[in-house]
Amino acid sequence: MVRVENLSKRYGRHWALDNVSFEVPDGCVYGFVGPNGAGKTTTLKILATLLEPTSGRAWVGGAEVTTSPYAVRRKIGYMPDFFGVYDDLRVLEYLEFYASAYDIDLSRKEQLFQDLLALVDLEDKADAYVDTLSRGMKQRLCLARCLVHDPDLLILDEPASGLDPRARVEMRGLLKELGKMGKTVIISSHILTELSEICTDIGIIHNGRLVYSGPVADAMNRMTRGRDLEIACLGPIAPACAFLAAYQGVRQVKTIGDQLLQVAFEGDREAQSRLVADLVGAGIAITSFREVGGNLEDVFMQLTAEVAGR
Amino acid sequence: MKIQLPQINWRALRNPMLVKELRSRTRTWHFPALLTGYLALLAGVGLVYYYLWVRNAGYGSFGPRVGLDIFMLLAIFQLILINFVTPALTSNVINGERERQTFDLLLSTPLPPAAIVLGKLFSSVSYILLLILASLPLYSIIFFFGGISLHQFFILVCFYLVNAIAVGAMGVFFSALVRKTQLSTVLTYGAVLFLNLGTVAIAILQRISNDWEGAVLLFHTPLMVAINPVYAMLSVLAGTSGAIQVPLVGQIRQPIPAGLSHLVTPAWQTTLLVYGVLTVACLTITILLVDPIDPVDRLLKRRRAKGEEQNVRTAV
Repeated sequence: MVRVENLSKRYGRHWALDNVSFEVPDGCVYGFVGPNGAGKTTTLKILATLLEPTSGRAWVGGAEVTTSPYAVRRKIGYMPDFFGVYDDLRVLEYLEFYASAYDIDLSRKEQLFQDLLALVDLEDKADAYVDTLSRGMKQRLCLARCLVHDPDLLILDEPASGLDPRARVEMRGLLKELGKMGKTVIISSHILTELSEICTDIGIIHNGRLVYSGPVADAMNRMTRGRDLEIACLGPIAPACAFLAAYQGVRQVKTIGDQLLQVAFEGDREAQSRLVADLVGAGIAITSFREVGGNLEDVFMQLTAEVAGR
Repeated sequence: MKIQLPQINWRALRNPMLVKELRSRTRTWHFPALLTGYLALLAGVGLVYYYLWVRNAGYGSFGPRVGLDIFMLLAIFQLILINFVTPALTSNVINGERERQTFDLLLSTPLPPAAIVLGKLFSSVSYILLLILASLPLYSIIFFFGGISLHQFFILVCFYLVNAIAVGAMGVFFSALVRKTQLSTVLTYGAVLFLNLGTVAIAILQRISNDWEGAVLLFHTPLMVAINPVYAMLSVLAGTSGAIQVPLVGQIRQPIPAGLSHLVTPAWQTTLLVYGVLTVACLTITILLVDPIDPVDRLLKRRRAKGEEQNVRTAV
């Protein structure tokens, strides 16, 4: 759906993007992760044809963003991080304006708008003035606006920013729904716990450089250190403690209660699998073995730290 | 045989920006308030002048002269009002969208920049057109006195429109050029002030110092005179004589540089031409400024990409 090749963007002397390349497959929910100023918004704006790259190229659904911007605009629904609304319009008029901007036949508008407002849970606000809506409602209305022409790709820049916890949860639910509908979604955020629940793929960007791009599961597998394991044993845990203390890759062993161990382990998933086999081979009865932590935040911290250390 | 008439695609002609702007503009209380205030001012000027005339000359002086005078006063006053209202309607249309953070949403739609710019301009101009149309009944009273032909009146209304479009185009241009709405408003009013008063000051200086010697001429009319909207409007009423008696001011005669008296073009024709060029220039630059992807660059890239494709095909 999206292909980006060696994209760079310079503002004066500052390179906001430096040779960024990645691909977003059809139907995936792609989380674009990075700290403030990393280049997320710049990348998304280039994909939304709102900015021209200094060099490099990008395609959306086969259309190049700088040579065929109108074709790209028909394929995307873009929601910026900060946006305003026309406060002198009613909700239905707001949707009607954007629908006519996409040249949608307004004879079927009633059903279309009803469906969209039902999706974003604003059915009862159809005749309300847009400026009377809460921030969360405006975000949801903007999402409905993005969907008015049934785009193939949704580009959402920090869609949950500035929302209260309840509105965040609602927005997350909505994004999950869009994922289920088979839409390709690129969503940027620096709140990683939110993304980990809804994304199938992620791209991690730091100081204008792409550190990682690919499936979330692969990113987790790339974690090579700082992985905590929780192991529950049947019977006395002293033999297990002694075995683990001598095992290669184990940095620390902590006991929690009578039968639970927390192990700081350096190694990928294959190494974990070997550890389980070795524990069983050593005659230690295990009732459970699981990773603690190891979420997107850890992946992000590790990968960006690696880049900073280079 | 059944004749198939060509089908007009009305949907394609519909400008969503224009529809939205008209809807927004006519919805607030500003709209009826401005219309009422505008008509009240115009009617007030006409009434006061007629009252003064009757007080000085008595009812026996009823005739074309008073009609022409009131008409001229109203026409001048209407032009000033149009030049005062149009910048207020147009000088913040683009940067206002930027300030409200609605511009990116707008540009991410397939709506071309030309449709955005023209929609914004024509919604403002249609507002002005409505003010002009609403003031027509006032002018119809003037016909009761006589002294003005329908032909002159029609040209005058057209001139108002062209003037409003030109001033509106300048407002839209400044609103796309600078980020701050206050600055674009100041710049637009500055430009309008220059066209209305600055040109007069320079023209007077040129007339006094060297009797138009060395002045830039446009169709044999000094430039500073040709681009002044008030003078152009008066030249409509002056007709072929080139001279007009302006109430409260006195006679104004079209300046004719020495030796060119046989080539004189009425000033309003030159002004319309200049304003037409000004409008096209302002709108073209505005459309280029608004487009996030440089259209020239886009064409060059597209051509380059086609060339590369052809090279690959040839190689295969």
